[in-house]
Amino acid sequence: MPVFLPVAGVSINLFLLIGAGAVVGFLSGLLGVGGGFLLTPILMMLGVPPTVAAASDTNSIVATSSSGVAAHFRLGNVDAKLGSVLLLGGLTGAAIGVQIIKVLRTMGSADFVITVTYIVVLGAVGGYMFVESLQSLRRGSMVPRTSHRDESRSLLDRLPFQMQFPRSGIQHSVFVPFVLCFLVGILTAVMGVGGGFIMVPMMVYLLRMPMRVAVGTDLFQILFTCAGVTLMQATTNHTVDLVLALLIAMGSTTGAQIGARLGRHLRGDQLKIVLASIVLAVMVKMTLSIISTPASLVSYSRGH
Amino acid sequence: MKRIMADTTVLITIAVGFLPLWAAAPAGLPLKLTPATIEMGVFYDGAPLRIEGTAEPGSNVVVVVRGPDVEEVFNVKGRVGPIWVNSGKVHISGVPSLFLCFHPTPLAELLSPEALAQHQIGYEVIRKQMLIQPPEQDRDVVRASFVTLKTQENVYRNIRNGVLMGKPTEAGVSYRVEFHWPRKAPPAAYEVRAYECRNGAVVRQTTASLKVVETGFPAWMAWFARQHASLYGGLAVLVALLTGFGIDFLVARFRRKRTAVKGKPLPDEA
Repeated sequence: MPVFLPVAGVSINLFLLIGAGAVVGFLSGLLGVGGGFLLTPILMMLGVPPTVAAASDTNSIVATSSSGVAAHFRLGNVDAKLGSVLLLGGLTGAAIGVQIIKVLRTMGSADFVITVTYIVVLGAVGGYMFVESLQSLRRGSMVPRTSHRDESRSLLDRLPFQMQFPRSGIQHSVFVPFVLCFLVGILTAVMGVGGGFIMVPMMVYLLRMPMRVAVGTDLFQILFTCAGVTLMQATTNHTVDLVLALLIAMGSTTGAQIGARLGRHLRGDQLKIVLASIVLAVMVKMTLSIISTPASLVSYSRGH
Repeated sequence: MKRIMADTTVLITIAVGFLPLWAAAPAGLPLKLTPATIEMGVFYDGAPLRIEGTAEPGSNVVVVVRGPDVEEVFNVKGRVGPIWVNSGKVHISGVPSLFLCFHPTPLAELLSPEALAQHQIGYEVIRKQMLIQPPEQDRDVVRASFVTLKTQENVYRNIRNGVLMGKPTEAGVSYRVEFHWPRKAPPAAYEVRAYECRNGAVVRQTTASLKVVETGFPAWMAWFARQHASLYGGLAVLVALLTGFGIDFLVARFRRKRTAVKGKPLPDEA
């Protein structure tokens, strides 16, 4: 059943849009990733102009993440206090990252840096997560932290402005999550993705948050980021298609609910191994796409 | 006075009498579009389109549907060591947003290269007309890659056997093109041109306009997004939030009901 998208100016099958949204929403609810890395290319393949696909995708992520946040909130998986610090650090880092991109552009090496950063970061994060989770699964339980980690822990403990984050069961100087998220913000601006891929592993491995709380808290900060971006895209570029976003959201919000519920029945290690597999799959696909000769040497510019 | 009026009446009568002859004077190739306007409503899925007319016996007809010229920005890929990365950007203009070329037999058999160039038929003409900025880019590569990209998207198509020629009669030979208008083609005024071809040259041609317009709710929505952008943006966020929280509320309620029926403790409260 086709439906005409007023801002995109194209007609697309209703069930294809809802189905694509459901798959991406499921991953979002399960793993705390925004899903933009998957949905934008899918929409472009369905015939939506790239700029409208990216902007409407962001709008639909507002719906998906709000649904996911609500589900995770009820399950006690959202650390709003830590999420607010992360959001602040992430936005500051993203602002700096945009400036870095500008400088790289003038030097003519922006795209090369982005591509290589993408592959290196995805490969490192995905590889480490996969190996670590696999070892954990084999052992049957999480292993106690090693001694050198305890040393770094004591160093972090001496930093000022220590703050309790009871929901996550951790204590850190407020600078730790802020600086870490600031760095991730720079990376996400450089790489041009929402950052769930990097943010969730960062929360788990560096901030020592439980996996489920990391997922819920990541969705919490994605919700605010995407709401801001949607407003900016609608006012400056007129590229948000509300009908498209709503149809995707119908699928993705339902998928997010199922994902969040399924996540509850899986162990943290199992969730991590799923996320690591997807990260590695994206990395392999990217590597293949940049080493094989493309059919056309021009592609639409999305104004990164 | 009466005489002047009588003369005027005679002149008008003569003019009206000659009007049909003027209308029937040799003109372009007959072309009829059905429908002449395609309306994009809520459940628009493209539309069946018929282009038809009659040509002189012994002729063939080529039909070209062209979208308005567009200007787009593209990334150009270049090789850095073993990997392909975007090495720069180009602005491409002077090219149609849609180019559908229907012909009964291969174009090379119907028209000479000069005729193809003169009447802007075929991809070669698009390649030549394309304006590329900045000019220092490798133009031939960009031109070829652009056409490849558009053909992959099915917005540039050469459809052989796309024109059905009827049996020649004394009145002429009918031609007909029937296809489903692509649903991905955006709203715009498209130009439909029919060329009557004989001995490698175009002997007659005609042009008609095909309007593809948004109507009803989609038209209002597109207007709202452009004219009241801030309000539209706020509404988009609000609707997304309501959808997200609404679905969550419904799912949670459904789960509670189901669990209550089973008589088990609620998982969220356990």
